[in-house]
Amino acid sequence: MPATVEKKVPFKLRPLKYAFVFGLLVLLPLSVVILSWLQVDTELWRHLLEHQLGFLTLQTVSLAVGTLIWTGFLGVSLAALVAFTEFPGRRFLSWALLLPFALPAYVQAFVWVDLLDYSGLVPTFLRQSFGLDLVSWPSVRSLPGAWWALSLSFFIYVYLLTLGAFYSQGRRSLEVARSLGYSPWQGFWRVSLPLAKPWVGAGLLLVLMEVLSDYGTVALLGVDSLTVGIFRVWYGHFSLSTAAQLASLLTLVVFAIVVLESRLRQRQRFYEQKASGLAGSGAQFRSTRGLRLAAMIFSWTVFALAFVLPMGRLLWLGASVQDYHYAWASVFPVLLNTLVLGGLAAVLTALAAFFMVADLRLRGGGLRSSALRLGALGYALPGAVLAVGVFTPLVLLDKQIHSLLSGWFEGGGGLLLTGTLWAMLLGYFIRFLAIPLLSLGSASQNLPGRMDEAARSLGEAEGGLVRRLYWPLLKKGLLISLPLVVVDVMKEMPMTLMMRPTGWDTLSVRIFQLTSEGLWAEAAWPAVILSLSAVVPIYFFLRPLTRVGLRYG
Amino acid sequence: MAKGASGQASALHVQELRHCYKAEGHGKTVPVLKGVDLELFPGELGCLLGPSGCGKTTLLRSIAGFEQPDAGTIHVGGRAVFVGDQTGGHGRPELTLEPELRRVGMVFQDYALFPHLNIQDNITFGLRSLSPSQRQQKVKELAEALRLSPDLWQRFPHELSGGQQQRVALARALAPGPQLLLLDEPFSNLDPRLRAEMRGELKDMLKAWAVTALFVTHDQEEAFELSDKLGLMQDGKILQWGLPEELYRQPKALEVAQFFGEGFVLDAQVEASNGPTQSYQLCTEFGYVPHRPSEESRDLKVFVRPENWRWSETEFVGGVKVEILDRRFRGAFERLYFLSPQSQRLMYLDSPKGSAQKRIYLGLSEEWINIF
Repeated sequence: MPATVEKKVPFKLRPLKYAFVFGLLVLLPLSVVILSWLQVDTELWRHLLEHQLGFLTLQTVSLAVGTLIWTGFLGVSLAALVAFTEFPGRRFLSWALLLPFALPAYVQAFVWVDLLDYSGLVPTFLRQSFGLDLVSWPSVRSLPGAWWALSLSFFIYVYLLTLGAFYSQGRRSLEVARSLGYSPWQGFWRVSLPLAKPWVGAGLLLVLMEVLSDYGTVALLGVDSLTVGIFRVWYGHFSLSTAAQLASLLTLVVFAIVVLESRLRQRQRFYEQKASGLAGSGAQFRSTRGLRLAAMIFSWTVFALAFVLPMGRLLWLGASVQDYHYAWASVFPVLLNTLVLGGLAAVLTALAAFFMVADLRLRGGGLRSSALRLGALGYALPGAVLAVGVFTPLVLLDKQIHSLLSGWFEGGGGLLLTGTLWAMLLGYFIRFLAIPLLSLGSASQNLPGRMDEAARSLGEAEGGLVRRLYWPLLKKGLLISLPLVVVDVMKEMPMTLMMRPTGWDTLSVRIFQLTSEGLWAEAAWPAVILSLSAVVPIYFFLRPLTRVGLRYG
Repeated sequence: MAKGASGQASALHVQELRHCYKAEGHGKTVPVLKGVDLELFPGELGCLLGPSGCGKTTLLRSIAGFEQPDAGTIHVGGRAVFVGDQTGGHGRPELTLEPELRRVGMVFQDYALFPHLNIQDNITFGLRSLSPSQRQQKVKELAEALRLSPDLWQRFPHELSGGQQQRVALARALAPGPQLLLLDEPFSNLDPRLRAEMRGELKDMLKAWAVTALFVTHDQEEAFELSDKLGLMQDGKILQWGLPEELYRQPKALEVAQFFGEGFVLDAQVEASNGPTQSYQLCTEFGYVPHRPSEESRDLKVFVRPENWRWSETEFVGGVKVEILDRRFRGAFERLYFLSPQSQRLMYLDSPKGSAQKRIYLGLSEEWINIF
């Protein structure tokens, strides 16, 4: 019976059948870092174990713990203030607190170095105006400095998720607690906060993931985390395999986090309740003047420190450049590179994701849905791991091609793949496929399956389903993913730094190079362009998430 | 200070309650409560019936203390819990008790159980002052009354069925012994069969524990079955508050009459009847009805339900002849369709015994109509 049906179908999308392969690409870097253990450079490892690894681990752990404490504190307290109290500017800050997201951590870090280093703005000002020369001025280039910079850029993960939890669960349960005789303060501690735990935890895990994969900030601030170790082994000892082995350790930790995170998400599902009826109007704490004042000062201070001050300083630095033409001329080609790369990555990932999702709908099956889930994992891979994982096989392949070609003619054509645009695009593709995949995947899940059956019973074949149903219905999710990918490519740093072909600097790489030489003013232009373009998706895609609870407020 | 309580102290007394919502962004205000009055006596079940958006949930939330009304007073158990600004401006209220001090329990529409606590901890959540053994005792008591078997106590809310969740929500609200229990659309999340079952159980339970309760619903059947006192709420006002049968039989407003079941509105004019004594009657297209006018020569409306026509197959005094256009068997009654003689509207009457005649005679009976 199925055989005859198959014959009748006029047009079958055969190529689509293999779309799931895109999702399996993530296995390439993964298997590379795992297989790297087949060949261990004992000499180098002895050196690493004796002199480096202990310290790297210690620094990474302290970096992570400190940042988690800070982001947890900032994220939860801000979310609580916005959700439960009333203070001047609450409405604005509820979404404006997401703006620091626009500043990549390494930009945040360099602005603070510029402001607080011994020769920086603030100490110089103190010296000149008050004769205050703090010899023991705490250096920003330190572990606490890294906590500061990373926390100011990443607390938003905790804030956003916790705020959502407070809006959807916390307010309501606070009402119940109050009708059972609890004061708002008691109710917050006994109910709203414990209820928000899965969300706070998920936010903290995302922060941890970012901290572990960060390279720019720690490199600039002189903190030796594991990513710095990977770079050092690669560039210092030229041992790609040892770098890959270090990367595999990092990957292990990251995947443990991914597993934990998905566990928490399952917990969230039990905690979620239909928020029917009014979600509680306005603030739940009848704010006293003291609370109102404290909430206002605290929230506005964090906002100022995390966004206004660094952004203002960047703009100031940018404006103080002597020669605008020169500054523009030097940043323009880099911007163009970035946009070309970002655009290519966005279009490629979007198309691949569309085909994968369409294929999954048409044929279903465990293989395809696991490929989809695998593909989304690429986002969790730290840039340094990806770079190592993509670079290594390409080098091997290049060597093969080279020896093959050398047999035919002199020179053998050099390295064809390594250090080309294609290698880098492959890296971007693996990393950012998750973005369109998630947006299309959830859009597709919301379409009823019966719809496909209806179309088939009306005589449409696979091609028709894709063309007349999936494309028009999923187009929007696809378009939304484009700017998100572009901005993420713009902000991506370690992988681009390691893999870019000559002449293909992106904004982020340029910022990193300039800042590592202490050229703050020159770094300001690319940093401003980068940050301002990152504001756009924040405003359009993240802001609505904070408005949900405000509709009744 | 229970003002206006008549003899017996009321368990809940709401007077002239007004509330506006401040619309988002632009400073417009939308009135949701436009002067609401209601009174419940100890042990009574009150029900607010009305379409969604009529303000009934806001009223409930104001009583619980989650909304702060602009004006009016609320007394619970003779104690003032809210006294609005008396000066008339939009100032601060003279008195408003925090929700946790009102001793008003609430069962939410979606139950709002605490997902991170097991059933036992959910129920004992409001019993902080009791010792563990006293709490245990209370859980036992409530669980027995609500038929929550002990093997459920250690489970978590998401492991329970909808009906069980509702029992837990009820137990949790009753545990601290509130002076008043509020229920927001308590059965809307249950399937119809379970709804009827829970309804009876809830009523028995509340009566057995002598709980004063106010609940809101948009389901008429539910309202009639559960309530001692019923209020029909529309557009921020309670149109009528009283016994359920009063609302049905003696509606004070046409809207009330029309809300409870179908019926026809007839135009009527007041006429003085020619007789020895000065009397008046109403003239409609279905004849005359005696009337004691409060104001003379006013155009009135007469409301008649399809089962309340006075009719006969033979002619009678004051009866109007109509042709039966169609008849439909409806099980408990037969529905006869006809055109009204003057306005030519399609009307019908419902009769248990029906009629096979082509023509019948119709009139209005004084005791079965409502005049507005």
